Amino acid sequence: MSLLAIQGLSVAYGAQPALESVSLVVARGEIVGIVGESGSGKSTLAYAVPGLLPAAARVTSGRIALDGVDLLGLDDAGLARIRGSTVAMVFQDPMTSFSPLVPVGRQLQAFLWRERVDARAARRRIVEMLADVGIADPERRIDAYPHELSGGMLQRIAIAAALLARPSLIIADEPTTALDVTTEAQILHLLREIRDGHGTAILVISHQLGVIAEICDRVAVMYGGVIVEEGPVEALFRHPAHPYTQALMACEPALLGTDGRRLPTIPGAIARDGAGCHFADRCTHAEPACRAGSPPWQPAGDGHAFLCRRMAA
Amino acid sequence: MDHARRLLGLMWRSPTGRVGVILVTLLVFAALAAPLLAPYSPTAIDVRHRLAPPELSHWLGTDQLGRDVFSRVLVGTRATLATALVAILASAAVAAMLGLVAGYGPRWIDALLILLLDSLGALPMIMLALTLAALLGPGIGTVLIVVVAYSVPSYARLVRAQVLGLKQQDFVLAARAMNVPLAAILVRHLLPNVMGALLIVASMDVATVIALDTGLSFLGLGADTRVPDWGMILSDGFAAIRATPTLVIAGAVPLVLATLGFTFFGESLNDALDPKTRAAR
Repeated sequence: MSLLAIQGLSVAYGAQPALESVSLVVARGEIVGIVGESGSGKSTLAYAVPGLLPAAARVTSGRIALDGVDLLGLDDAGLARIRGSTVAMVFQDPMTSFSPLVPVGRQLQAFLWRERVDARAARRRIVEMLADVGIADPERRIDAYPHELSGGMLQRIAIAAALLARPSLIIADEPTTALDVTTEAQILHLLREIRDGHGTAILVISHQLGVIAEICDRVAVMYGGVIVEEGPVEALFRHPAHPYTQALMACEPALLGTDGRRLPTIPGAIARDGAGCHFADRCTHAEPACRAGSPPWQPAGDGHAFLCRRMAA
Repeated sequence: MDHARRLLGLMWRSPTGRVGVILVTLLVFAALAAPLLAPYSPTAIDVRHRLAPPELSHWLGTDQLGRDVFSRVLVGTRATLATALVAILASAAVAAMLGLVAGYGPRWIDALLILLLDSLGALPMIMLALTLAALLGPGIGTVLIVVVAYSVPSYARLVRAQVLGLKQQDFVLAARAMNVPLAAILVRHLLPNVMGALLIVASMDVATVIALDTGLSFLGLGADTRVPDWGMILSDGFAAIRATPTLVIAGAVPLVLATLGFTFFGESLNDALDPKTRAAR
């Protein structure tokens, strides 16, 4: 059975839809990436799972099942119990994920209050956890204030915090965007180790294809509030099928020898109103039919599929 | 205790902090040791030495009834400081609670609390004080309630504004994402982050509250008319200002020193409590 099953999830901010009928499955121990540009709805999807959407957002339809429990059917208390036990989160900017005035160890300790662990045992567990995520000298670091630690160290500690709950799913929202490239590689490596060691499933949100390619087993590409292509990382990166995915990869400097030419961009602005394919206005392959009706899902073999009327698999 | 000593050490590093610590220590010492230090009883009347100028036997001279002003100022320190500190602490505690609830709680609670606080803040202070005194009778309790009613609206608004900003921060979201109990989020994550601002405002307000306390005792609404405080010395001095300025000066100088002392104290305490400025020093 899959760990997380999202079916036909739609979320709107007032009248403005942010997600339209999004379906996604995460198996136990699987690392799934969601990639897309700003405003594509990837963060909305991530925050909808633990019920941490901002007050203005409203789930209009769909189902989110985590470990067989229907999350949208739970009340606030029930959702709160899921958070910090079955699902934990890692945020984008480790510098702001911690209160600046409280030593990090004490903040992690607060995460254990629900378990009624006494202070000494909690401290021991936190020190072990910090050592596990590769913090050197954890006995000393545990009493450090956030500003005394580097971004990479803080992100490690944030991951340790998420692990304290022994979750079966970690949702990492742009976990390396605020970090430099070497630290990024280390953090991604750490996430992978955690999956291998604890069997924790990880949902990684990112706008960087490189991050996704580095650690994910499967990837979903989002555009304008819908998933437009989904598949195993290998297959999707080798044979991107959706015109948006293709354009996105063409923009990635690391995947392309640019020879001093300008980096390619996708012309036009993100838009999602009206019927038909959301990408139609920016798509080089678009024809009138694309704007008329919803595009169909096309299989591209081996769990790889994409949402397009024009392209052949 | 260790913690307090470390804080004092940090405050001592800056010149203003040093001045603040010295002045506050002196005031507290004067308040505690007043009965031992005062050369005369603050209420002993000696009509033959009315309005005497400062001299060796009476350092700050005497007032209209021949009472030793130095003794009155010393003993007055105790009543003044005690009232001001208790009232400020009570106001800060009430305001922190209300501000946290208003800032973090649901919208309707916020709207209701702000309405109440704004209404309270809109009342003219003297009218409120007179009404309360008429209802409750003069006394220390009345003074405390008046000061709390006067300070809480602005303090609570300050706390609420800080909380509104803080609750958007990732660390609060992170705490929620880890199912940290509401009380722990409020006390452990939000309270430390609002204490700094509240502490500064409160310590600077000690002077305002002393002045308010002074005004109330001038109106006969003070704690106990037999125990002198700086307000009484000032109002006595004001009545005798044509004869001699020493009385007003004797009442005002401690007030100024207390204002400076508590302001510097508050500022350096805030710096010492903030791990970021602490590291910068």
